[in-house]
Amino acid sequence: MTDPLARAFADEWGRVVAALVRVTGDWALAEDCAQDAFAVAAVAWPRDGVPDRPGAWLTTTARNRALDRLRRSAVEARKLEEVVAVVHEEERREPDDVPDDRLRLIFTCCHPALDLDARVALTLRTLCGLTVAEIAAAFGAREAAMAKRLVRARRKIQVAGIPYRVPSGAALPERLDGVLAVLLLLFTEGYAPSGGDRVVRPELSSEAIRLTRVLAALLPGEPEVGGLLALELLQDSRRAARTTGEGALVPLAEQDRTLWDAARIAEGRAVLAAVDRAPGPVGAHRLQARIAAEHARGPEADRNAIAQHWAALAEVTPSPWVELARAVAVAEADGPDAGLALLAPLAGDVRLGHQLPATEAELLRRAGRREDARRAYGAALAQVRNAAERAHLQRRLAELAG
Amino acid sequence: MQYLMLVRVDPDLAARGVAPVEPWVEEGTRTGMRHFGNPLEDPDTATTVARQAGRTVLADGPFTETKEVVAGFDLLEAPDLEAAVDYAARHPVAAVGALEVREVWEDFVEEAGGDPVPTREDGREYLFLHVPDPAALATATREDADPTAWVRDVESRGVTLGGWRLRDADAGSAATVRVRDGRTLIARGPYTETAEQIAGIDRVRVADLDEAIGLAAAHPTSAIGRIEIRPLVSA
Repeated sequence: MTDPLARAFADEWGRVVAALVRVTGDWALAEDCAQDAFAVAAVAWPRDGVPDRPGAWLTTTARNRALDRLRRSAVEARKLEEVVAVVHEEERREPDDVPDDRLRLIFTCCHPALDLDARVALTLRTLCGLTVAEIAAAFGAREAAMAKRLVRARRKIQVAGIPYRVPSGAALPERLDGVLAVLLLLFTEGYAPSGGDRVVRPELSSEAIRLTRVLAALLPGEPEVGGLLALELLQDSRRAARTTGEGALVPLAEQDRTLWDAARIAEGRAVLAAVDRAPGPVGAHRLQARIAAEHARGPEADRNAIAQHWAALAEVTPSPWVELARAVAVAEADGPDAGLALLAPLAGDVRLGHQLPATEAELLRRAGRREDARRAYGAALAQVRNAAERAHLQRRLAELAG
Repeated sequence: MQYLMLVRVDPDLAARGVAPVEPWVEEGTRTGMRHFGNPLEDPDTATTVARQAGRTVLADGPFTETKEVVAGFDLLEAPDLEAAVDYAARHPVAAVGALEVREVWEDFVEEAGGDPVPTREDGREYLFLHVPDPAALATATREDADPTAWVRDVESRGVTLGGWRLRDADAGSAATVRVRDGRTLIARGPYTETAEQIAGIDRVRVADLDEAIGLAAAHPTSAIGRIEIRPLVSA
């Protein structure tokens, strides 16, 4: 059985912090008091038993801590009165009637007036409850630098007046795109880190999935949120098969499908089916989820459908990376030469880094052009940073030589 | 004539101590040379707004990475640039930073007719620093850059606390003042460490940063350059 405190931590941390930020308006205080409340629970729950409503218990404890701290500090009397008034008002309510503030917290953490790095760090700290050391380790940063980044972000929210609010009306779709971008970045950093030696950092992917679930539950009318959740679940289902025991990358076609997580695939399909009937234009996350769902069928995947989804995605979010992936999909459907034709216009785009020569090499290899493929693998190896991807490229190059 | 004085200082140097500004403010009040002014929160709290292909693009931080950042502003009244510069040179920041003195282009936007809408009293104050892109400004038509419609809009909503366009630098309408080792150093023209010049400022009072971003994105400057939004240090 899972430790009730650990489960409460995962489920309730964001909710407790969100409630405290609303009541006190002070982000650092909110996090400190949430931490205190969990520390109190670590002593009280094993002794007195787990309360009926762990979340309400933690929020009340954290709120009382906040009041104590505000009373002890030299905070203005007026500010303290405001906080006390809000607390009393909430204590009169039924526990189920207390608003879930996590949506506000998500939108504020992912506010576009904050650097993308700051948004990601703040989301992991305030919503997921990761420690500064854990976040620093996940992104290969020094702990002191990460702490500074968080302090600066919280201070900017307060001093610059970033509102603690869910945007409404016309602002919502654009801001929601920004939130989904942060969640996807978090998931992708966990699934395919940009640097370092490991191919996956599962804890970041899990946090991203957990948060996307929360967002999908809080915004049921937004098909792109469900699209992102489906995408994450379907990608994550292949996690165990994506690397060898030594940590090397395994391409999709060579993966051991018995390692795929069937429950995750089923859930991803169900989530996608539920949102895929929504009217209106299909957004990028839903399109990517459709592609992932098709790939999850293994050899039965409809290659033409995948190529069409990539073409649609290139319309919705034109970018060199989408063009690159589309070329791969078209190569699967219509042969390597068709894919190579789509790669030609991308030549010289430095943003693609090693990915362009690596993809080119793969298609050249399949087209039987061994000499050209060898040259392209060499170009890719000169630029690749991730150790597991490097090993994969070296293995391919060695196969061609033999 | 009105002159805008931009207080520029390296925040690290300013943190080590600057003489109190009160005697300088008192002098300006006594002589009528200073209308008002306000310090700005540090550049870490800045947000830069631009509009590209119909989308609002935000950046976290100030528009430029110079060491000496705009830390405050004062609106001065002086018979000519020399008199304004003379007063600016006595500002305590002159010893560690620079004072950029710019002539205000007073008739840039026509005065509105009718009764003015009272300015809202709640909310937060922000300063907009207008930074047009020199190349875009060179090719912009008068209509592209005309802020009149924007000014009328913020007046009707009661969110403006004034806006000041600045004269072009090469018209001999600007000077940058420093005092080092007791000597006053005056450089003709605006602040030269950056290619882009501040072309004007607007002071607004709105509910929060989102509303400020909305206003900045609607201003013509954000389509031909950038607007840096800075919270004012509240009194």
